[in-house]
Amino acid sequence: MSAPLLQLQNLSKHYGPARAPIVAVADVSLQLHAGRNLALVGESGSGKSTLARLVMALEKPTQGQVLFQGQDLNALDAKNLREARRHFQMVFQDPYGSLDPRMRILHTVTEPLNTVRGLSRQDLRDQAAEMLSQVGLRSSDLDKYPHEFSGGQRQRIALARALITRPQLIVADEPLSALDVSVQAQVLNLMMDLQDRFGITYLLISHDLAVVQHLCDEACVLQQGRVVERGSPQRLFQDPQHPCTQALVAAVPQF
Amino acid sequence: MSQPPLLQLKDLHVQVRTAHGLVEAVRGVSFSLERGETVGLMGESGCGKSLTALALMGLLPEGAQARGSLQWQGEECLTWSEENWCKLRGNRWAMIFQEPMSALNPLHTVGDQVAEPLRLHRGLSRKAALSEAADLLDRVGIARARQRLHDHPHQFSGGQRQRIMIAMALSCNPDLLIADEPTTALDVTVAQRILELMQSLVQERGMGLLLISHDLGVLARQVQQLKVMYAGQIVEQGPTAEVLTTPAHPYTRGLLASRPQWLRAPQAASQRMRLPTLPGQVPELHQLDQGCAFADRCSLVDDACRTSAPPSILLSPARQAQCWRLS
Repeated sequence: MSAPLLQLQNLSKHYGPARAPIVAVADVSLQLHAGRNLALVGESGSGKSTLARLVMALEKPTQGQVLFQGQDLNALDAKNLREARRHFQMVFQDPYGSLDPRMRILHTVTEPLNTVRGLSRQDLRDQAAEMLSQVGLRSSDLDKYPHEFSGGQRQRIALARALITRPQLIVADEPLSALDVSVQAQVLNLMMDLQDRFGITYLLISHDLAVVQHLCDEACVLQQGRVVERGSPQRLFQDPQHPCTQALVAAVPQF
Repeated sequence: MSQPPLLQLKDLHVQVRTAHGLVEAVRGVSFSLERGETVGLMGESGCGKSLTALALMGLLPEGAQARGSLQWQGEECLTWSEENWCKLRGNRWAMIFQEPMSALNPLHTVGDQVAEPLRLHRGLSRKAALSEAADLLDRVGIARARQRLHDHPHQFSGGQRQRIMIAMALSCNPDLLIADEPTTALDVTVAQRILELMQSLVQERGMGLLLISHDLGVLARQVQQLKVMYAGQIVEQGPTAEVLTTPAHPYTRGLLASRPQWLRAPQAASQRMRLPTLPGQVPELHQLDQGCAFADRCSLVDDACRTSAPPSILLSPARQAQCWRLS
């Protein structure tokens, strides 16, 4: 078996004073292999989003390591971390809050390329146009502003921005939750198409177990910062063992 | 002689001003709601569900006009003065909005805001109103409610603020509660608790509930009757479980088919299969013509669909759908 794309080793994150810390993530170890999507599920406050921020190296862990392609992200200096960031990108829940309203789409989409030297304006424009066409938008959209787009289109723009550095990993935090029902399927289909085309792997944070089951090969159930159960979504959701997983499964609407 | 329903809407139309002039955003919505009944209005962005709710509360934005009939216990109220509305709003009927931060006044304490309707509509003294406000906050699950009366909205979390909104809405024991996307801005598990709270209060007090949401999962659990809106009209309605398990209108069918299937059987085969999607987009309201508004996206479309408005088909005594192809 090839080396994992992402490896979390005994990862913990505490907030607040050291004598009485609030434990957001407690001793989490997991592996993510290229092409095998992993889901993090759990209640609000279970540590999903903190874990995502640790993976993205937006926060430093209190203990443990985040290894991306074998490289400890927190051991890198600022310059090398910037360089490494092109390989993992993030898409957020709220397509209204995550795009800068005063920035044209061209700048939003090419912003992750700022660390790449030697790209002319025309290069940037060409690459942005290419990415927009990959997510089903037009190159004429490059000069527009976020308010001119619907929620689904904004999520496409967010995906174009995430993809422009050709990352291997995309962390997607509730990417469908804010979208209309008919648009959710379009964006989910797009995520699967992009995976086929670009060989990316998703780390998905979602409360929608049906989406998790559809997209992911493995799921981890988090409770109070710990992984309490893990396995293939099929196994996990058909035969949940931990009370926390059982509660999540029980909350799925039946129709 | 039977009592008139709590709320009855007949052929409600709402016009709004847009860049394309006046357009009709709500196009002939009719339904009624009884005390103790829970009704859901499902629809995607721009289908007119929130405008319908605002018209119900006499809160339409500047420049918007409503016509048709809106009766409250048999009394026509679309033509009411603002003064009449004020007597009912927050008293006999109450509304919960999507964004609990902008619906609360950041400058006033939570206690004063929850106490306000009690003083206004029930004439309680400040002291008595505050004491009852504390009971209400306690009832909706705000811990140490009495001590927190003097806190301001920013000192509460999003879920707590929505609980405070519910406490305010319920303060005068309304007959009808209108909740417009009450949990959309909240985290999923917090949302679940808020919905459970709303549901238990509705049952406890026998209120009518009109719940507006784009989320089929939320509606499936919360309402007895479901109305599906598309482009300003109700295109399908009936008991929630029936509509969701045997949808009739092509729009409802398409929406339900586009969801990943949640099956208990092993189904590794369906993993990462592309989901069926509805082609096209919701039509622009100023471009609507005589035919069915869904015609351009419908796989069953024929000539009749494009030339005149679809008839309302009675599928069973309690179920209706507006579609030429069901006749």
